[in-house]
Amino acid sequence: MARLIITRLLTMIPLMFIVASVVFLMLRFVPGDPARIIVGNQRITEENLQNIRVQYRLDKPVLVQYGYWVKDLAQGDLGRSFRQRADVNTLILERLNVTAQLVISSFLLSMIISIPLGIISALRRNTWVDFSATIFSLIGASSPVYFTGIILILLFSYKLNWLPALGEGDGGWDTVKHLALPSLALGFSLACVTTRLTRSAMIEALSQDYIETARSKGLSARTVVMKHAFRNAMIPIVTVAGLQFGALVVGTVLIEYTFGIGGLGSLIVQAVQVRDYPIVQGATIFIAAIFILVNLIVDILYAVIDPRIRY
Amino acid sequence: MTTTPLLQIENLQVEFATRGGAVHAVDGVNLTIEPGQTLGLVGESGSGKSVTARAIMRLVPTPPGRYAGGRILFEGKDLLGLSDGEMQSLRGGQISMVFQDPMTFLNPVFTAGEQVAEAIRAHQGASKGEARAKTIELFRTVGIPNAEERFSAYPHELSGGLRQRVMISMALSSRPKLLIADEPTTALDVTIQAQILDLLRHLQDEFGMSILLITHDLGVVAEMCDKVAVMYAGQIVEEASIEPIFDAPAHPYTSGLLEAIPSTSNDGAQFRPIPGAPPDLARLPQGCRFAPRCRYRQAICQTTPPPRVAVSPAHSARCHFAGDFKKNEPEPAIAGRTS
Repeated sequence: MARLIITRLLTMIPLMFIVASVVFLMLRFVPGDPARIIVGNQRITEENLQNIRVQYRLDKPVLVQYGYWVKDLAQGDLGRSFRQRADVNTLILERLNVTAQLVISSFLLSMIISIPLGIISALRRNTWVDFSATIFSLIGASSPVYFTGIILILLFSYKLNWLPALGEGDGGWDTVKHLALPSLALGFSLACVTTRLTRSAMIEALSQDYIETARSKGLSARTVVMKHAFRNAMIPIVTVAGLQFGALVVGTVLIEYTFGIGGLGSLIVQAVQVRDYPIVQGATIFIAAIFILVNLIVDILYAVIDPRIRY
Repeated sequence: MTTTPLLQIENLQVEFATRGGAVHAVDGVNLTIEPGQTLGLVGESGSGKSVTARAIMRLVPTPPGRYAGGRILFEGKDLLGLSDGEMQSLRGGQISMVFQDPMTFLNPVFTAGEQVAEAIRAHQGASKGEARAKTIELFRTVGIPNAEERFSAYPHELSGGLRQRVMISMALSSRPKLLIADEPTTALDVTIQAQILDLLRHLQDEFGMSILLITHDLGVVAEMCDKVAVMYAGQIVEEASIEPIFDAPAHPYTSGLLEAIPSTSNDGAQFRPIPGAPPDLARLPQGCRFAPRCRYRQAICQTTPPPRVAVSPAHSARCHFAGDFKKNEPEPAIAGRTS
């Protein structure tokens, strides 16, 4: 286990470097002159424009730019934003907080909804409970998060006026209120997949021979389901939950946009629009790191859940 | 001497709902087990022997299953009338079960010890520590070496024989009065089979329990049982104590089962498989259920279901010609499939 963790953490470094390099090169192929976009609509002489290019090293060939970027990266410096006069590190860390809150609350919400619902569906197979859960899942799986988001805004903000529709709040309870709707929209779309998965994993586990042994021992129905079946059903659930957590980090882009939340997602979207290369590159590295860490956690959880898995 | 039987099954009916209608997996079964006795329940796959066993534990999944009739009296109480809670405390307490394949019947994600200890905690209200100590004690009783270490072994780390010993220790943990063993040796190596049977016999002496031994192996029956019931297509077709069954089977099916055992003592001449397959329970023959495969069948066998005929006070068979079917001219060969 310790070996797994160490090797994974070590491979993380080249992996993140490759991802960041690919993004770096891809950005150079995106049409549009960053210098012009930085200036915006102001009138400017060609000479001044050239000064800006020199300042940001945009006048150099791509490979030379890459060389400088690698050198800075090795020192942990993600560069400075073209547009916002600040370090990329600082900008990202500022925004990461809101996004992390959003991701974690959506994820927890999704689990709290989907696992009990999936278990109940499995136990009450082909009853109205199961059918309702299936319909719920289908709706969720087929509605994009921004659509769900808008419906939630219309209902809870516009009609009922219970919760704010925009922004990330000023901390504490205010943040909770602001993040409730976006978390619900994201959590709902995830919950659908996990509900279906939990249902099928539980049906599978409940049909195993060891369930009969557990019942023959005189254990309560609750122990049989929650201990003997659920522990075995958790393996596929953890796999998908891990993938979902990674996808959530990306998924927040849409939801932050819909709800006007200043998180990492909206930072990236804005940066792409204005060709603010350093921010896009830096954010990609952060997201890659989160993906890799989540995968590592999933692998560790496998071994914790299933003793047959040893690294 | 009139003692109440430990277990008395009366006219048990278990049916399963299928697309083609209700199928009677167990159709009017009567069985009696006295305290300390071992009853062998013999039959082919699908004959209803495992369903009968699970019905005693009330482990038949309902739906699609349904206890359609009859009574299962355990020490005089009808198990089919008990509440779920009462049944739960009986399961693993006074009646317990050992299953066929100790690999799939043990939960792969819990240690062997935990799976036994939880049964002890459930029935005896023992603390974690007490349950652990009792489990290790039980492991020693069933002959698991290094019992203390094996407590925290996972099923996949144990051999088949050890796993079955774990299952047995689990079943015995609350000193049951009745142990149901559903083909307890089928999934094991031949050498281990003998050890496990030995262990069961030894434990029966020590614990004084009754055993319902389900098997398709008549050799195991001869070795282990006081009495035997032969099941075919959901019914008991013959019931007797051991010697009469082996010496003078009263039902052609039992006779066929005995002839189907390859043996060195009868010069191999008598080795003759029973042709065909058991009938589809959804489309049973009109007369005797075994008639389509029976070498001795007569006209009546194909039209009228046979009654239960007593050939001696403790020996009965469900055959029109019970006890003297061999008088009938055997048909030389019977066309294979029946369904």
